[in-house]
Amino acid sequence: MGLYRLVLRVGDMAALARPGQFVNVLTGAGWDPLLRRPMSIAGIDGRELQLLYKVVGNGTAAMSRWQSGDEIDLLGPLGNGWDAAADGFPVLLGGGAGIAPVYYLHKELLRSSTAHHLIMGSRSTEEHFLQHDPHSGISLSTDDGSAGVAGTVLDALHDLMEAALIPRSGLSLYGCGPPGMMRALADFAGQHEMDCQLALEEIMACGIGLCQGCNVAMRLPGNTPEHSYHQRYRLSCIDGPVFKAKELVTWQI
Amino acid sequence: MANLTIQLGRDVTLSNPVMAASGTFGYGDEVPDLVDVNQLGGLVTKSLTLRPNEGHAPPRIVETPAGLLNAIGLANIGVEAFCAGKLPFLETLQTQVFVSIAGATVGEYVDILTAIERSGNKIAGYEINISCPNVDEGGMEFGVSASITETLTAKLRQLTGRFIMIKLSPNVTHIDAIAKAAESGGADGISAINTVVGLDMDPLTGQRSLSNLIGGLSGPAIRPIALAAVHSIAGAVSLPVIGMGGISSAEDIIRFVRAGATAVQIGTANYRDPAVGVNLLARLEQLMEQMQIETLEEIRGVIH
Repeated sequence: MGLYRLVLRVGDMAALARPGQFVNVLTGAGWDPLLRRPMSIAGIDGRELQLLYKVVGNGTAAMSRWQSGDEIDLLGPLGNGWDAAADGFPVLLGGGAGIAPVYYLHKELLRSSTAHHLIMGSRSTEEHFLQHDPHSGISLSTDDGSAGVAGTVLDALHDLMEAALIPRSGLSLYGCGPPGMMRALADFAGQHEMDCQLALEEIMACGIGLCQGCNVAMRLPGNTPEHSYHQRYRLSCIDGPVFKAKELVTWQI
Repeated sequence: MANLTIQLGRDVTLSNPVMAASGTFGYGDEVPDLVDVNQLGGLVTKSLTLRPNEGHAPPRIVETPAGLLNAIGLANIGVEAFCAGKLPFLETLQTQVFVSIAGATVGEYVDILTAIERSGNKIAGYEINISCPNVDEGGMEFGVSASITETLTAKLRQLTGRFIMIKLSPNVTHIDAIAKAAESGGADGISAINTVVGLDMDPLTGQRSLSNLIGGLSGPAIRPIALAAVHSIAGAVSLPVIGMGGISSAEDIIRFVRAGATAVQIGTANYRDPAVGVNLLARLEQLMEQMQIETLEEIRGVIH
């Protein structure tokens, strides 16, 4: 099953967006689904906004049936976005549909001629829309070995280090993907004391901080039984969706 | 010409019957870019507890057919931070503000309400969330007992002359009996319904959908339950009933009025569109003209 690409004419909103932010999309007028679907922005081109998604439920299934010319309702751009000013050589890692916010950052880094490496992982070659070309800064990985490196995005990262195509230390990681991948990235960054930001994909209702539904447990000093909810928990919608990996309780990602 | 003004209590007039329900509009200061809060008839703030409350661990929400199941766990900033940080903004609003309060003991409700009264504010009144576990009664909800509801209401009545509405839980055998108890205790209004108790899980793995396992169901799925509750309450008490439960259209507002509501609250629909309450008003006026009525009062309780 491949990725869907959706290009939306959003007008002035496009100029406000930053990599790592999301839009909250109403996928239909009825009650199934009832809530909007938060979707990471995969790119901005002029007054157009791009989304990349997989059909995983009723919301994305409805989106996949949209026709050119349809009018849709979305709120955004929302969320904090990546901190692209982090020190270190940027390595961008996207897994599956998690490529979206990573791909947007990749395009922005290309635009500003900032050296970096993009690694995209997927189950098999059908989900890939890029060419495996490690010498030009793009690596692919597949679980079944049908494209690029056979294995995970972290296997691809190891290969790049072995081949000296990226520095062995001083990396700054930007990751988004399935929970297992993000946990592995957080653990890897912790072991190697690397800066690592993760864009979480939490279930949300409102996307604007009203419902308090998308809380994320934080590993912060000074937790006491009487702290406010903004110390132990942050909200993925307004405090995130991008968090520093070392601040997250990783079992919960 | 349709007149949307609602006389809710002796001292409380709403510019229109639509209020934002507790927990779906924060403290009113989160949405100014998206909606003019002052165009709402009223705003009920997120429930306050005595101390800051972190709420439940994730996951806290799950979508169900035409519904939203949540167990947020009353995450809120606590009454002290509210009085210092949120009340000053709320006092600048033209809309009628009702502060929702939630306690674990009768004493806590008293302390929260007293703290807000002391800060000399201009709020319209309070909504008392009685769907909270009562620590003194082994965790049984306040709202399932008529006698505790009456005692609690009477205590709070002594502390304020402002509008007090008691928000009832539908998870009881006879909601009309609880409403009568609130009336006997001196309440000014009844709001109903709070969420309907619910549960969901992943069918194949058995993984619970909410960290708290049990949650409260809201959204269009509960609308008929809410209408029946409002109908029952309106027949039992002479207080105004503020109806809610799955309202997402102007037609829904009228349904609640016909069931006996004087005003309504919109909850879950705000998550789809924070401007929904304001946007429904034009359509509501249109429907009133179609029905050839000037005020909603003319059809309140009228079902053939």
